[in-house]
Amino acid sequence: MTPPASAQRARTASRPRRVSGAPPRARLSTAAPAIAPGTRQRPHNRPPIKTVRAPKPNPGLLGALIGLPEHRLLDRMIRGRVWIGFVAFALIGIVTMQLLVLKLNTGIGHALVQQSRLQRENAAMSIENSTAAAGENIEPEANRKGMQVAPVGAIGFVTVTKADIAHAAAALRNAAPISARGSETQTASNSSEPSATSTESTESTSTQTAAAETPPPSTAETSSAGESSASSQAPTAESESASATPSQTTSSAAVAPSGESSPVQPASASGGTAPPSQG
Amino acid sequence: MALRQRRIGALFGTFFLLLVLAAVRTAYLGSVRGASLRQAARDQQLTHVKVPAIRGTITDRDGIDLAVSEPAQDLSADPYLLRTPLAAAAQLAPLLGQTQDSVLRKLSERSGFVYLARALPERQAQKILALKIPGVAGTPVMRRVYPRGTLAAQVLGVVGIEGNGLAGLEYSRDSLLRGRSGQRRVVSDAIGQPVSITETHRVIPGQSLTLTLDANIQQRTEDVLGAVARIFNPKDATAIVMDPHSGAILALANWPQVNANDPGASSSEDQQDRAVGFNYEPGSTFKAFTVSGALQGGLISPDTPFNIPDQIQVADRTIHDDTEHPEETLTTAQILARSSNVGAIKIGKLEGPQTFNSWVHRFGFGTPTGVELPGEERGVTLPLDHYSGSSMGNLPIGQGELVTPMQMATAYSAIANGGIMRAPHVIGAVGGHPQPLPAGHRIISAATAASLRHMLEGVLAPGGTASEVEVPGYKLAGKTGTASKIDPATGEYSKNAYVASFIGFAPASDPKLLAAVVVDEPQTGSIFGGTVAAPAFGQIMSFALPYLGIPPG
Repeated sequence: MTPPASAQRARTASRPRRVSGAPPRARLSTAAPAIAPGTRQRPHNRPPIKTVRAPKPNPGLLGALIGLPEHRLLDRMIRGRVWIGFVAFALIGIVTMQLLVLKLNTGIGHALVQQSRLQRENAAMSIENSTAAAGENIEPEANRKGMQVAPVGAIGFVTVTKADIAHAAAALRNAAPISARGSETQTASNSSEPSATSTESTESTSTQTAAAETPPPSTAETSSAGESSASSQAPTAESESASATPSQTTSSAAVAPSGESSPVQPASASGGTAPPSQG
Repeated sequence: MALRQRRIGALFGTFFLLLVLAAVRTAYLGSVRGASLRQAARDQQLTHVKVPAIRGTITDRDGIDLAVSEPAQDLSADPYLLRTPLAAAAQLAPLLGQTQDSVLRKLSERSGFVYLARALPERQAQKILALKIPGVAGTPVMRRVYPRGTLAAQVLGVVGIEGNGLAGLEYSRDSLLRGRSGQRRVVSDAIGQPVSITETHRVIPGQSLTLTLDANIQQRTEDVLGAVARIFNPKDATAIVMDPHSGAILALANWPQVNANDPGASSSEDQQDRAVGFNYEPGSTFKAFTVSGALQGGLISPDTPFNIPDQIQVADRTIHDDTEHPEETLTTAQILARSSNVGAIKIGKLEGPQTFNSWVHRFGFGTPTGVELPGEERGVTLPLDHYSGSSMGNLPIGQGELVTPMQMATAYSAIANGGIMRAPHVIGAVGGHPQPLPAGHRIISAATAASLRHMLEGVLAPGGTASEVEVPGYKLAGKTGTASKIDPATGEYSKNAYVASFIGFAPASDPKLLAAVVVDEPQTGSIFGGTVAAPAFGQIMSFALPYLGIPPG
């Protein structure tokens, strides 16, 4: 809607045209009174000039924030097409994040189900383990593997000294492989008339396993077995020490790690120095 | 141009109208139907799930589980939602392990809620829930399982259907074991998948308890008590095995046995832990304390001779020895070995009522021992001002006072360990943190304790009341007891109801293990402590001593 030319002209005529910039220097110099050189005099008719200082820019972050809406880059960006891409990216990001959160929550749900399942399985295994560890289950299994309960009187105790520990450690270093020792034990237990060595080895095994896991069946059994074992202990300390193999020493040392005395087979751990104290 | 303007105007109008319609609809849904829709959405999407805390495990000292909790479900039904209860009952009955009739009865109740089964194992519950029978729902709970069944059942106790301890350690340590249930706020989507899970209350699991019990010694002790019961057919029996130095209880057995997984099958009497809840007159086992006081006071020595007739008159009472015998001279050690009533009374009279009474209390009688087990009795001791003229005729021989097996085992521990009285304990660690050893205090000198131990060896030596009991390689010491029970009908000592007991330790010179066996009212075979309880002691010791690696001595 352009105004008519006549009106435009009238408006121009009535108002002085606004001119930007300072007035011509010549006009100012004509209006000013003469001043002697070297003196400075304030003009009387002119109101004092107020100097308006430009607002000092705020330094730091605040300044940057205040200046942000007028920043050229922002201005260019929101007037341009970049913001369309930016908003699209943000929207896609928000939706993606929402989806991820949902997925995460679903994952938590699955994890809780998994946790519950594992708890259940753990409890079931604890129960199974405890039940399996009961003497009534271990005893038949041990019997099946050829082990038997060690009678009370068959267990010998020796006093262990520092020298015995060194002796046992040396024996351990020279110990036969476990498989070989196992086969030796098995052979000894199957033998009808075992030698001193094999008897000792068998006793050692049964003492460790059965005494720790299963009770002796009855007093009657104990006493009869005690008699038989007493006869099997007939070999002297000399013969036992002479026939002591590294494997025997190992098995004895395994149950006599430290302390004053431990249940071991006679003499082998102490290298034949200490006779059994048991009557 | 005008056409385009009109089209734009029409489109604008249409969109504006749609917007107005949407606003009106929104306002309608948000205000008029807002409440009901919000409720429906909450019901459909939002659930608050209770997360039961796992009750702490109870293990023996080697970590063998004695009580374990496993996830389970309470299965319930809303009979109003069931269209065909008969068909549902037919499906549910075999999975619930119930008869079809009983399930049908539950499903036919005129109620909106009925329990089908409580604490059903998770696997079993999942099978039932997989049937997707309308109205059948499950609530997650924890189920207590005792893998060893009867093992230490009276010590462990039981847990109620709501998960709270009702007896034994489950009761006394309930606050530690139970933990605190939590709650989760679950928002599900349209197909029921959880889209938001928030923990509104955190679950605090219960703490585990590690007992001082040894499952193998416990098993053996229970087996031995079972054998005693088969032979002597008693009313009940109890046995305690403990380390006299630390007061740690290694086994605590009761007979009759109770299946901890099915406590309802046993009577409440059977479920009682007699080791702490059984008050009985100790009889001759008490004589050790009579002698101990006199020894400590310097009134007698093990070799002090006493003239022992067959009977003794105290005020209006005549007390006999067990067997008739001519007047003879016995030393203090022989009095203990032969369990002479007359001799013990003479020693008691030497002490006098005041000193004797002080020793009774010094050995802890009349006060609970302080063991962590619930329902501990304090026993009954006669106050000094209630002593009559005949009191010193029956108190020194273990009559006229009531004790618990735990009190007796604890008092004998002081003799075994060299004179230190220490509270027994059955809890070794809580939540993996070892519990401090109860403080002990000396009640008799080490020399007095050693003298007593030596004298108590005589009980198991030839001529003693338990001479037939032996453990090859080990020297044993102990004391037999055979006490008549009061007949409630007559108020007099019964002629056929006795308590046979034996308390002893080994090796005698430096005891490492103590065992007490108390058999209440043996009916067949014998009634004497030396023949009923002492062999059981021997059998327990013959297993436990080598098992624990205690060298002979």
